[in-house]
Amino acid sequence: MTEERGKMKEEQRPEESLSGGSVQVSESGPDSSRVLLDLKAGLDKLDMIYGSEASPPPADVLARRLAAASGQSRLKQKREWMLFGTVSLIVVSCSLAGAMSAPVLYWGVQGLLLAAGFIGSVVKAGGWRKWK
Amino acid sequence: MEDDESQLIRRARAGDSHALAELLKKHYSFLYKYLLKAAMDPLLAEDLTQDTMVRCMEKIALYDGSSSFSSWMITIGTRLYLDKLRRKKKEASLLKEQAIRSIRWKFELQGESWREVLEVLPRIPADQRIALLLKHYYGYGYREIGEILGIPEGTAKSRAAYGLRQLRKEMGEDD
Repeated sequence: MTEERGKMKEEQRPEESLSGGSVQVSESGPDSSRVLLDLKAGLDKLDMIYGSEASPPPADVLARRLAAASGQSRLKQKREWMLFGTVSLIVVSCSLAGAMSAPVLYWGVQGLLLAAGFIGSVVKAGGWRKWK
Repeated sequence: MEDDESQLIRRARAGDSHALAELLKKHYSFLYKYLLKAAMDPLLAEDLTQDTMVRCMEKIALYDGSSSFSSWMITIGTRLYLDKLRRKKKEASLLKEQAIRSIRWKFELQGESWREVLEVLPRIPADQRIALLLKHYYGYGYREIGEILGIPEGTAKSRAAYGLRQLRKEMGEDD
């Protein structure tokens, strides 16, 4: 199985892969082996220096922290959903209002155009008569 | 041991918070150490570890066992780190210097000699540095690195190669 693969690698790999001239070194070329050995040594030292920081908190503390973080995350999610709902409601209301008032606008514009055409033709007819 | 973990995962997926806490506790050290190497910033690594734990807790139901649990965790941690970097690009270089100073100070405090490679590593772009670490320190294959970083296998390969080239150049090993 692949469980714990990363962890297994972390524990086993550096010695195997770097000093043993394994795939990593052969793939990157022999010139890189010194750099890779330096890298491994430096990172191993870093692990050692930060060993105490890397130790996990007790399980109950971790469970409490996770519960608190979960509560915060749920609250944040709830707020985001509420914001999303409010914005959606506004957008839907505006769209509906636009759609509902569209016929009024449409007929309004049509009526205005008709009236303008009628008035225009009357004015024009009057003008023609005057001309004659 | 593997069975224990499979059991913990199964119970955690079923909603057992104690099993989840136990599972996360088991991987805490590995995750923190990985994120410390990736970010080269102890404080950021700690924050990222916490964020990753919370994200794992939220997404545990989605874990399908196709990769090891630790790989799944570092995938989440890596993506959180890269997201954070994208958002805080401006502050990044200043924070990086401060972080390196703090690591160096800690080395001195413990009477350890400073390693040049640790000074050089943060200068490598994050995506290349992570590919380099995953390949040459953690021993992952390019396909897995691609899955962790969410990039094609070929891109993972070139990033690891560029990272190594950059490391060699910075360490004066480049011809």
